[in-house]
Amino acid sequence: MRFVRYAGKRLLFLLPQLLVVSFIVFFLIRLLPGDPAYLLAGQFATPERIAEVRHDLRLDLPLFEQYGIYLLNILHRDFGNSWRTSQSVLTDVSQRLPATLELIILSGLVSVLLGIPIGVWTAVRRKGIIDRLLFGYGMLAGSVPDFWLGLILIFVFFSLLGWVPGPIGQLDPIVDAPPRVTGMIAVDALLSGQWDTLQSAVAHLVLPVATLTIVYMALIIKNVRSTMQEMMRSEFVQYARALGLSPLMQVRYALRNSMAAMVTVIGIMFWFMLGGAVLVETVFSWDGLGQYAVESVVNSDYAPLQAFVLIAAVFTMLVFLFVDLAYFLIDPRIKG
Amino acid sequence: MPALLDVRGLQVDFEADTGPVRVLNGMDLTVEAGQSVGVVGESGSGKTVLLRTILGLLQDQWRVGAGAVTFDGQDLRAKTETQMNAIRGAEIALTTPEPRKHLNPLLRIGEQIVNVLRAHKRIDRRAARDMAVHLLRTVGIPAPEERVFSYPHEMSGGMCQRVIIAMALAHSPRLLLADEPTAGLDVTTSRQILDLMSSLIRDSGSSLLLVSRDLGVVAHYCQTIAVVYAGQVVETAPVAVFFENPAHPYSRRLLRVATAAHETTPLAGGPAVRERTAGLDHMCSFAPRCPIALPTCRQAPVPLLGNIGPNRSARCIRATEILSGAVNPWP
Amino acid sequence: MERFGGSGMTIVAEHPAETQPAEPGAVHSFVAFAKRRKGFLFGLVVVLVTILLAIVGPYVGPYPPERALDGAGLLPPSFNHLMGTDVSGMDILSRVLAAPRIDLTIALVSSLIAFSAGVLLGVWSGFFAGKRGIGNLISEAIMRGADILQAFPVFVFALALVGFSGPSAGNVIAALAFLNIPYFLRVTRGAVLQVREQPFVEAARCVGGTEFRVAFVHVMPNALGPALANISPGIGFAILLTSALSFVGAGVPKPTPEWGSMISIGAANMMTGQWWTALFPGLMLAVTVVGYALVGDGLQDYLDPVKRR
Repeated sequence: MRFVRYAGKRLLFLLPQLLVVSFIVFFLIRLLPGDPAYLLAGQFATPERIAEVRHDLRLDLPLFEQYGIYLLNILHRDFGNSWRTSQSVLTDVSQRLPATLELIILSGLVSVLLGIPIGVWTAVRRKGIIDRLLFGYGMLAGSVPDFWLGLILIFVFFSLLGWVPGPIGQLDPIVDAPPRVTGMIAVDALLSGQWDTLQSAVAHLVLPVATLTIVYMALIIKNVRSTMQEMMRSEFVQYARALGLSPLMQVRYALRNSMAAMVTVIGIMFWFMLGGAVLVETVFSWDGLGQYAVESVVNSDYAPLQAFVLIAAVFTMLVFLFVDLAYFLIDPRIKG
Repeated sequence: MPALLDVRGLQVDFEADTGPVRVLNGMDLTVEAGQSVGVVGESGSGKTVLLRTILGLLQDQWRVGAGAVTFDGQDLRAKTETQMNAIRGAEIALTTPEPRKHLNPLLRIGEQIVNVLRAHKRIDRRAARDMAVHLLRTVGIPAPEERVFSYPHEMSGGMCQRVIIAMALAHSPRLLLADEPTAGLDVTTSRQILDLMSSLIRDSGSSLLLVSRDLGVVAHYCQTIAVVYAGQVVETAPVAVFFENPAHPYSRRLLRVATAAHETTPLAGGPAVRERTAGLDHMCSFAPRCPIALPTCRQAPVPLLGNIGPNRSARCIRATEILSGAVNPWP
Repeated sequence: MERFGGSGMTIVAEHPAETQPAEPGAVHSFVAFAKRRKGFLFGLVVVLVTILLAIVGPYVGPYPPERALDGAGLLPPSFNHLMGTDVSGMDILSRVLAAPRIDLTIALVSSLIAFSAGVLLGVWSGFFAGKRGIGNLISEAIMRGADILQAFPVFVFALALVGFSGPSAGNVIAALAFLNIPYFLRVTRGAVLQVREQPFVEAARCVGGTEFRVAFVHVMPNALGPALANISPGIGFAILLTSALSFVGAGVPKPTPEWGSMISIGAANMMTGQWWTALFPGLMLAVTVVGYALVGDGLQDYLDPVKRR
């Protein structure tokens, strides 16, 4: 009951927060050097043409009026149109967002499900060589560009070994897409029982998910390990030991008290992963939001890029909202 | 009858970045069955380390060197972690200062007591829950049926200490190691806690090893007193005769300082005594501060001399002179 | 794709270990420290080599880095071309050696800007935090600004910034400088919060300095440690970001040798089996970033009074 009240309060704050974010996105972009009208009209445009484009983009109106129009449009679910796909940005985004979500959620899940046990295990069983290996892994994972890693994995597992299909998107071309329920191809295939499609989808998911996981799981492992080590040495765990509680119970105590820190690092991982997803999608031709954003950048297509930044900000806010809510559930010391 | 707990010549070092520091320098201590012994000394004299060494709790940079710890005839140092775990909480139990820090902040105290109970006894959760309520009642916590659902941060320091005592005595250990049970508590609460502990121990016939910086506490609740200086016991005596006539110059100094303040003053802390006395292992470690030190005192380390009186020993070659009044370090 | 190499330096601590001003004889103890830490030594070597390459790289390789040799497309590594050639016939080794020039320039300039701005803002924010008056208001505003900046995943934001202002080295520098300010800001703020409590700060005040003088002349030099330790990984991170941006086409334009754009050129070939086209640039990139991160780690340990044996 307390939780519902707390969650309600936080969700209530979400709306003004979203407003502030949209405001910031709008103004930050407008403040940037570089004239979108000029870039859009092209290098050889005449001044009249540039003025024309500027008028089309409503850049000749006072700034606040522009913001007002922008806000109104958003409320009417109009995020502008992509001149590249000739569709509304909203349509483009809704077609592509699930693919990105699928990638991020799956990679995140695997990273957490593997990373936490590994982190706990290495914290409890302290052997010098494991420390060394982990340090190396953490160092490398943070320094290796994820797009490069993706290419290496493609080379090894596709070109050399032929174990997985090539990076041409989410499905083999000869396989039909499943009826759209969530927009996530693998999930939809599962829901409609199309096993061939599911198999193809999963096969195409393996490398992108592996790339993201290898790079971002390191963060979880390192943090879980250091938090657990700290907890095992804490006064209350050592006192539990002094009263004769078994090593298993001591680990359980330490784990329970590490959960807040783990939730934080999971949130941070997802936050990082959005950036990683953009790159991985490019490498694997994933046709998700990330690839869409990149193509918009390269083609100076503003409306999609603006929408993408807004989505990124909302994503961040949601991730950290979940983290806060999780804190509330974990720690009884936090009052509503 | 052999002693319940026998510590002999215990040496413990701490590996600091600047080199090893000898925290316990040959500790000798005995506790008989049913006896309560009070250990006093300044902070840093090694009292807490002694308790943790007995239970085998030291880790990481701590090194236990020479010496023996015998409990009920068993060599505790030879035991594995699993074997020690069976003893901890069941036969020898520990209470700690700053009780709230030593309780799990995210678990209800009932849950924590249940875990302690189930660590050494095969009982189901319901029975354990009932026992927990009963234990809370025994340590004087009001409305225990409700309190089992509280979290440590919802309770006062005194209540947390009672919970600690409940957990420590849950399995009626034969020896209770009490580490400054009244640190951080106000005078009234301290008194209550000590009375509580004292009566529970008396009822179960357990022995008590009480570590304190407060001479008055030891005077009131213990039968025997052991004074620690620079990682060694420098005097042991029955409480009554000690306070009348201490035998070691350091003891006399302590008593003088305490009574001069007209209250039971906790002994002030300072730089770890061992840091001050490091490098003095070839002589009496108190000699530099001793007004009556003889040249002999600086020539060889002084053993604990056991024949200066009934049940009395002191690490001073002039102890008998001091006792008879022939010489007075601090007139 | 973000920075988190090294022993946890990205999850920026608000309250870093206490730092001390350097003592005399520092050079000698620094050398002794470097000798003990093999990783640190390796990192220093990497830093020196990349700086060297930034200066002379384009001239050191066997071929001009932007010269496409006819008929030499996609040659595997051989004696003539130690790292092979890419699809246009450009020698990869020469380009790999020439790339640090642009990558390091961008990274260094942007990091220096971010460092300077971040430290100044951090000193202000930390020094005036909690005190009454305009100083505190500005301090709060700075922190809110930093929060907002950190509301977006860094790469996404960099992509957007460059996307809206057009791809060029200058824009990349600006974007990276802007985005890295919060890191230096927070680390410095944490240090200042600790340093400002020390007695010598009171003394400086008594001698009659204005608050500004106390903050920037007395407190700031002693709060630089954590920020300095973070410069090196910051540079590594900037290099990673630059390559990522160039990889997607939003950074350095194509023929200029840059590790990220080289990987992008070679990407298609990787899939058809010409592994050398993207492997070597990426390897160099990884080694470089690791090196800079190790230097950062080493510096952080070195500046910590509790120097590990």
